[in-house]
This record gives sequence, C-alpha cells and structure tokens, in this order.
Amino acid sequence: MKANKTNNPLRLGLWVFLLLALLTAVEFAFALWFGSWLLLLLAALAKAGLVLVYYMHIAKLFKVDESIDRESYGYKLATNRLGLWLFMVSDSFIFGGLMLSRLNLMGLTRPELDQALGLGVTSLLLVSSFFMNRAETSLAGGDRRAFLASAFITILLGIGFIIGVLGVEWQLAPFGPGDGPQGTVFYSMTGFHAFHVFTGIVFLVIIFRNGLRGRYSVEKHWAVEACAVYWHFVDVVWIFFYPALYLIGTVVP
Amino acid sequence: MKEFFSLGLVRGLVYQFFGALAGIGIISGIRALMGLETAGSFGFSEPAWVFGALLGAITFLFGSGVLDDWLKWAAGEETADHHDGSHLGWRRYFGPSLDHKVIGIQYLVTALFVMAVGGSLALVFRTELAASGLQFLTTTFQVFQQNGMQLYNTLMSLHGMLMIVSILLGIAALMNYAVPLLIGARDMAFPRLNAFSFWIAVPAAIILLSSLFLGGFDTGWTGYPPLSARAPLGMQMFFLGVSLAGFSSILGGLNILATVIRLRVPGMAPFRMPIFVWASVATSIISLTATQLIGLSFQMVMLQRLFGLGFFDPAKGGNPVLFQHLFWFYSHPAVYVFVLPGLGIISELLPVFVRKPLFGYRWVAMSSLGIALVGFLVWGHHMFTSGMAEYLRVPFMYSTLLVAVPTGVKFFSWVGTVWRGKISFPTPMLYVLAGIIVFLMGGLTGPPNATVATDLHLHDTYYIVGHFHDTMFGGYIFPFFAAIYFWFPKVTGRRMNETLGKIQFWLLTPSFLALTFSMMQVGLLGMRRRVADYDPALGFDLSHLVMTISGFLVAASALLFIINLIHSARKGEPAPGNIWDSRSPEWQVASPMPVENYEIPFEVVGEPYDYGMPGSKFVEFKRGRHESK
Amino acid sequence: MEKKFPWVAGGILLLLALAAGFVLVSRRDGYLGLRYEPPVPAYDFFLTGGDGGQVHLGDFRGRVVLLFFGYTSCPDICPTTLAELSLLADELDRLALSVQVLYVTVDPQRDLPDKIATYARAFDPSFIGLTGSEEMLTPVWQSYGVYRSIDTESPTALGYLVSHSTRLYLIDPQGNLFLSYTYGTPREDILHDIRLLLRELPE
Repeated sequence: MKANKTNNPLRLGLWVFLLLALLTAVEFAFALWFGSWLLLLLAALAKAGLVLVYYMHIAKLFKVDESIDRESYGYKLATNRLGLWLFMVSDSFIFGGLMLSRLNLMGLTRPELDQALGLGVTSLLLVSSFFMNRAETSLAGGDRRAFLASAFITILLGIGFIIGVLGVEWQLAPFGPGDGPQGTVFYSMTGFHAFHVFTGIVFLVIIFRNGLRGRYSVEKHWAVEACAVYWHFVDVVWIFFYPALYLIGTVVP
Repeated sequence: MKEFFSLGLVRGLVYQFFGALAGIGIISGIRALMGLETAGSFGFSEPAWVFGALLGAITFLFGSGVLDDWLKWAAGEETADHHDGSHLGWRRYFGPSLDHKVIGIQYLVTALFVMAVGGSLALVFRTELAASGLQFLTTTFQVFQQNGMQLYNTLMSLHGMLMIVSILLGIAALMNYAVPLLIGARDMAFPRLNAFSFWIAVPAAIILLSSLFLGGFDTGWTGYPPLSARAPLGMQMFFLGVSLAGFSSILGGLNILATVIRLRVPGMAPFRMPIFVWASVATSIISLTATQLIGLSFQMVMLQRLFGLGFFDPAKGGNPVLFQHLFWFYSHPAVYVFVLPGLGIISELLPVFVRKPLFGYRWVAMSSLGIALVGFLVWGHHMFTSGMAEYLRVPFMYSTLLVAVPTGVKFFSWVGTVWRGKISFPTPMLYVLAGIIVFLMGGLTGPPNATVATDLHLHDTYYIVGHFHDTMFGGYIFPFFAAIYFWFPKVTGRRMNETLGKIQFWLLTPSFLALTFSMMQVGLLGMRRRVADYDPALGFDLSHLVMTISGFLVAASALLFIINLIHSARKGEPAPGNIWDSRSPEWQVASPMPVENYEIPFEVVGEPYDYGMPGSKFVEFKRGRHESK
Repeated sequence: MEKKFPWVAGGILLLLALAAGFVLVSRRDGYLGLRYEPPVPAYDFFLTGGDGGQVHLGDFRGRVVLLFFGYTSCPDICPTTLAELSLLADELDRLALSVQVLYVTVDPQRDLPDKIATYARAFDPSFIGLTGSEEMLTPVWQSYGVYRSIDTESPTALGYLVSHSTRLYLIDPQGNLFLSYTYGTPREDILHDIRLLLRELPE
C-alpha cells in the first residue's frame, strides 16, 4: 500500500494537531484584526469539530454492530462508549450554562486578561491533547512504551495547565472573584474547567499506573480510550471558553 | 452488632458523620491559620459546615461500599460481572446491590420515607393555616434557631423540595425495576452506576433534611437570590442536598438511555417496546441534560455566598433574573420528568384492564418525546412577573399552550383505549382512572396560567398550588400507587389486600379533590402563596379548614397504603402467576421475579397491546434454547 | 476518514477565509458605522443654545461630534437614543473631552432654547441641546438629510407628534461627516468607532 501521509494514525494525529495550532493562531489574528464574534465562533466550531472527529473518534458511536453476542467484550465496549458520550452530553450542559451566564452578565465585553498567559495555557492544553491522542493511538497499535511516555507527558502538561491557570493567572489577574462581572465570569469558568482538568489528570494517573503493570492490551484498553476521550472533551470545552474569555468583544475598562 | 455495622447503610452513615466532622475541622483549622473567623451561627463558620457536609457525603459513599468495585478497577483488579446477593436475604436491601430489582425496592422505600417526612411537614403548617390568625407558628415560638414564622417558611420550602425528591426517587424505583424486565434484559447497562445513583441520594436527603435544624431558610423550594444569598445556613444545606440528589437523577437517566438503546432483546424494534419504556426514555433524556442547570444555578448561589462571586448581586454587576432563567430551564422540564413515567404507567395498564389494544400506540410513544421536547421551550412562563424582557412573554405563552397538543394525544388515546372495552376495576385500575381525571383537572388549569393576561393575577396565588398538586397527583401519585398495586405480586409473589386498597383509594380521591378545588378557589380570590397567615376578612377560613382536614385524610390514606404494603409483603394472598393476564414479558415468568430475570430469553412475536385478539401473543419463550454465548 | 483529512483541512481553511473576507467587505476599514465615502464637509450651522446665545458647529473642530435630531416631546426614539449616548459618555473616560453630543430639535415651535438645553443636559451635563427659528433650521435638516413631519392627526397628551428620521451622525475632528448609525446601534459599536478614529489621527 502506498505510504499515504494520512494512512498512519500517528501521523494523522500530528497533522490534526498542526491544524489545530494553526487555527488557534488564526483565531488570535481574527480577534486582533476583526473583532468579529462570528469569525471566532466559526474558528472554535472548526477546532471542536476536528477534535470530535479525529481525536474523540465520534464516528465509532455510530458504527455499532448490533448482531454480535450481548455478553461479548465487543458489545459491552460499545455500550460503555455510549455511556461515556451520554455523560459528556450531560456535562456539556454545565459548561453551556456557564457560557450563557457569561454572555448574560458581560455581553460583548470581556475581562481584562493577559493575552500571553492565555495563549500559553491554551497551548499547553492543545499540546496535551496531541500527546493524549498519541498515547491512545500508540497503545492501540501495540506500542506500550510510546503509550506510557505520551501519557506521562500529558500528565505533566495537564499539571502545567493547572499551575498556569490557578497558580499564575488567578494570582496575577487585576481583579478578584468579587470584583464585578469580570471576577464572577472569569473565576467560575476557569474554576469549573480546571476542576475537570484535575479529574482528567487523576484518570490519567490511574491508567498510567495500570499501564505500567501491563493491564492493557491492543484488544482490551477501554479505560485508556475513555480517559483519552474525556481529556479531549475537556479540551473542547476550553476551545470555546478561551475565545469567550480572552478574545471576543471589547475589554471592560 | 458486628452484623449491624457490616450493613452498607450503617457504615455509610458512620463514615458520613465522621467525614462531616473532619470536613468541619479541616476548614476551621485552615481558617484559624489564615486568621479568619472560625465561629458561626451554629458553632462553626458557613464554609466549614458546607465543606463538612460535602465531605460527609463523599465519605458516606466510601463507607457504604458502593465505590468498592470501581476502586478495584482503578487499582487494576478485575471484579465479577454480577454479584448475586440473594444469599444475604433481607440484608441485601441495606447495602449496595447490583441487582436492578433490589435497587428499585431501595428507591421505593426511600421514596416513601421521604414522602412521609415531606408530607408530615405539610401537616404541621396546614394545621397553622386551618384558621386565620397565627395559632402556634408565631414570632415568639422558637425552635432550631427560627421563630414560628421562619419555621413556617422552612416547612413549606422543605415540603416542596422533599416531595420533589420523593418523586424523583419514586420514578427511579419504577423505571429501574420495570425497564429491564420490559425489554428482556438481565439488568441495567451499568449496574454499579445504578447502585451509585441510589446511594448518593441517601446522604443528599440527609443533608437536605439537616437544613431544618441549621436555621432553615425562607425562600420556598425555588431558592431565588437575592434572598437566598442572605438566608441562614440551612439554605446552603438545601443547595448542596439538591445538587447531590441531582446527580442521582442525571446518572439514572444515563443508565436508562444506555439500557434501552443497547440491551433490548433482539427483535424488539423500537415500536414494539412496551409504552412505559418510551415514557422512561423521554423522562431520561430530560433528567440527563436539564438537571445540570438546577445544580449550576444552586452552586452559583453557593459560590456567591462562600467566595463573593457576584452572579446574582446587582452591586457586583450580577443579574438576579439570570438565576431564574437557569433555574427554570431545568425546573420546568423537571415537572415533565415527574409526570411522564406516570402517564406511561396509565398507558401501560389501561389495556390490561380493558382487554383492548392501546389506541394509537405509536402516537402515544411519540407524544412522550413531544412533551419532553416542548417542555424545554416553556420555562419563561414561570417568569412573567419577574421583570424579564416583556417581549419574551408572548413566545413562552405560545410554547406553553403548545404542550397541550402531545398531552392531548395521550388523553385521546386513553379514551380510545377504554371505548367499548371489557373494563374491570381492581385497585390498580381505580388509580389509573382517577389519575386520568385528576391529571385532567391539572391540565385544564394550565392554560389560564400559560396565558399572560390571566397569569399576572394568578401568579403566586393558591391557584398555582392547586394546579401543580393536581398535576403531580394525577401524573405521579395516582399512577405510582397503581403501579405498586400492579407489580407488587411480581416483586413479592403476593398480592396487596384489595379491600384495604379500595378503602385507601376512596379515602384519598375525594379528599384530594376537595383539597385542590379549595386551593384553586381561594387562589382565584387572591390567597397568596407562601404566607403563614391570612386576613379573616377575606373569608377564606372555611376553605382553609377544608384543606387542612383533606390534607390529614390524604395523609391517612398514605398511611393505610404503607400498612397495606408491609402487611401484604408478609401475609398477603399468594399470587404466583399472571394474575392480571398481562401480555407483558415479565408476567410470563414466575413470581417473585427470578434473580436473573429471564433465564431463557424471549422472542418478540407480535404487537405488545393486541389484547382481545384471539391467539395473538407479544412474546414467546423458546424452550430448549440456551442463552447465546 | 484518514484519507480525507487534507480535504477536510483545506475545506475548513477555505471556509474561514471566505467568512473573514465577508466580514472584511461588510466592514470597510474596520468601522462599524456607515461610512461616508469620501467624507463630506459637515454643514456648518449656527443655532441657538440654552442661554439664548449662538452655538457654531465649527466651535467643536478638533473633537468628534455626535449629532442627533429629535424633540423634547418625543415619546420613545429620542429618550432611548440619548440614554444610550449618556451611557456612552460614561464609558468614554479619558476620551470624554474629545467627544461632544449635540441634540438639534425638529420641533422649533415647542422646543424653546432653555427647554431643549435643559432636556439634553438631563441625560448628561455635557450634552448641548440646540434650537432656532424654522428658517435657521430648515437648511440644517435638509443638509443632513433629516426627514421631519408634524403629525396633527393623532395628538398625545403632550400635543402633536413629529415624525423624524433617526440616524445618529458622527462628525470627525476635521469637521467632516464621517459615519452614521441607525437607531438602536449599541453604544459599544459607536465607542469602538470613536476609539478607532481617534487612534488613527496624527497626534
């Protein structure tokens, strides 16, 4: 078979990441030069779509073989997948509610935040998604070493994100939680999101440890798949939260 | 003694107690180190109590044992797929079980307990309201750091929320017990998640109840800020308790959806599912999604109180009406969560007792989904007088009136089903028929509330109270009783006492109708909600007396029901077979239901509701076929 | 899925480029208001201020002028627009001295100098309300393209209504008619344009 650059799933993961990074830069440029919330929304939807399709493999939800034995691993795996997606649908409503509250309280204005920090933590999360995908793909391809290394890097990047948000941004923000709608919106959105990143890190530590002990095989690694899909979900939330906090509208003086 | 402490419930409670203490201690310690005030209205600061309550709920879960399998998985160990706890006897009901039937009973008992507590609180304030003038809930009466009138507020608020929680638990009981049986599954898709969904409701209910003793709260069950941002400590317990109970509802909904999508017996196409399964699916779509919003709105007030985030504080650029939007975006669809299962029960049971097919089965199936969908579009009708943008009133009025369409489909189906049927009237059927009539009363009093012009007069009056009591009883309580009378033999192998059942029914129904008609009467005449007293010159005294007496009669009937339940479980007439001659699969096997449900899987060979058609069958058990491997 | 990726990527980038182009075209040079291309010198008028004295548009050279036409008995359009402009004035901060709101009457019969000046000041102390005789005002209305018509058919408690066009005009510091806004334009947009305009000027 001709070596197509998108045949290799690892290579595909890399290309998707590069496109995501490019789109983030495009998004930033949009904010700088256009100030159009519509363009930012389109960019965010494009990024979210890429993650949903290429990292979260949403297509697997619909390619279900109904005919196989109910008690088989494969059948239960598909059921588990459905359960995870239902969970994420439910969780989206919390983030949706926070987003609507942000729009209700601040409209087309945004909090005064450090753009470099914002880009920094966003990059950490984006790169972590690349490595999370790499971890899952490696394991599915039989490369346990790469899985472990990539999972470990993902953990580090996740911790970096938490430090960046809670440790740096929260300390350096020119406003506190009680300071007007800025404080309300910024701390609640980043707080809820960071909590989910934290739970993702816990999940990652669990699969890393179990992975070290050889618990996962090419055929049976649902926990790893679930961890990866959840991690990407948390990334998708940030794909919408980042422009909502840093890019749209005008800064409140 | 050792056996007592091995019960999951007991261990959970012990862990909860110590976890709460630990939580209070940790926060108090941190505050002391930071130089902050550690004392508060009940000895400790509010943050300490809140964190204590939360940590207590978490430690309860660890102590109960419901997390054990998951912890083993995290540690990399395997666990058995199904734990057969039948060797434990009655003890298995007091600890985590993976059997959906056990979980269903656990939900049922908890629901009845919460209902009894919530109902009793109502009896207290109904006694006060029986005559104008404050008789005992006066400002000089002091208990739990509240005076009589503050206690009134707490009682009426808790009555509302406890009844809501009891309904959520009750529908969980029905859906968890029945859905796997109706679709031929061995259990729910995620049995451990199912157990978790039940067990988190226990500390949730305890925390909710604790609000009574921690200063209470005066906002009504809706908890609106700015008042809730200033209310006593009990408010936080209310918010936390409801948030935790919300998880039960969300995860339960998730489980039902996954189960119905993935575990139906092969050959059971969607339009061959029993109608109650459709109702459960519609209900679960709502509980999976909308519930997050009440959690979010309550958590926002908690954050405002604890950390000063000004979501709803105008001085900090917040918006009190935002709370109402978030809150009602769940709480309206929630009422459809409350009634859709009951309406499904009515559709499920009517054909059995009139020996005729369910009229318009596909339409009825779709109508549950239709109600769920439209139900998401109407929340603003709770806010016509809130100061929200006026132009929003009209679309919400139209969407609210639109809900009558899918609901009407159900009513016409029921009429069409009963028409020319061979009707029999055992107790379950009495409850089904009364449920239809009472729900009709509730439904007819909906449009005056939906119409903005009339709602401006009716909002916050007893007319609304009458409306929702009718819909809740018609859509839940009556069908709930019907379902229990109906499925009791399947669960226990005995039937409930018919005579007692009929007495209970005839005690409940006229009393309840007197109760709600009086409510609507005084509501139309201007009686406000949520007030401990009213002017004798208004002439409402007689109506209130009627309401109080009716309320006590309703409570008496509930007590009779529980007596019937307990007595019949031990000494009821044995009923091993298909006593209702139902076509439904669960009635084709022995009673009580075997632990693995269907040892031999069944095949769907016909329509579910072809009652009265000679020779037709819904399901068949192919003897001699082994469970496929 | 994998083979299609280059197409997916290309499609996304193309779509975003098209969207960006669309936004660009519909918003020339980044201004949100309707641009006068090229800017025309704003009609330089002399009208009567609150103290009876003359106010000359040219007095405001060097500042951005927001010019609105209405009358004190206006039930809705004028109060809402002036209210929005007063909120705008609050948000100007250090730009406040560079912006002047002028409110010119379309109802000279009832809007005497003191009345319209007081009315305008009620929204913000810096707002200037202007009137004059019908002879003085007619060329002003015509030059700015203001429609005005006295409606005696349906009198209100305040007397007759005057229908009038509702555009808000932005005159740049060089005295040119630069931008205009439809009724209901959010103040954020106007603020955006003012900031953009003032930054573009040579210091």
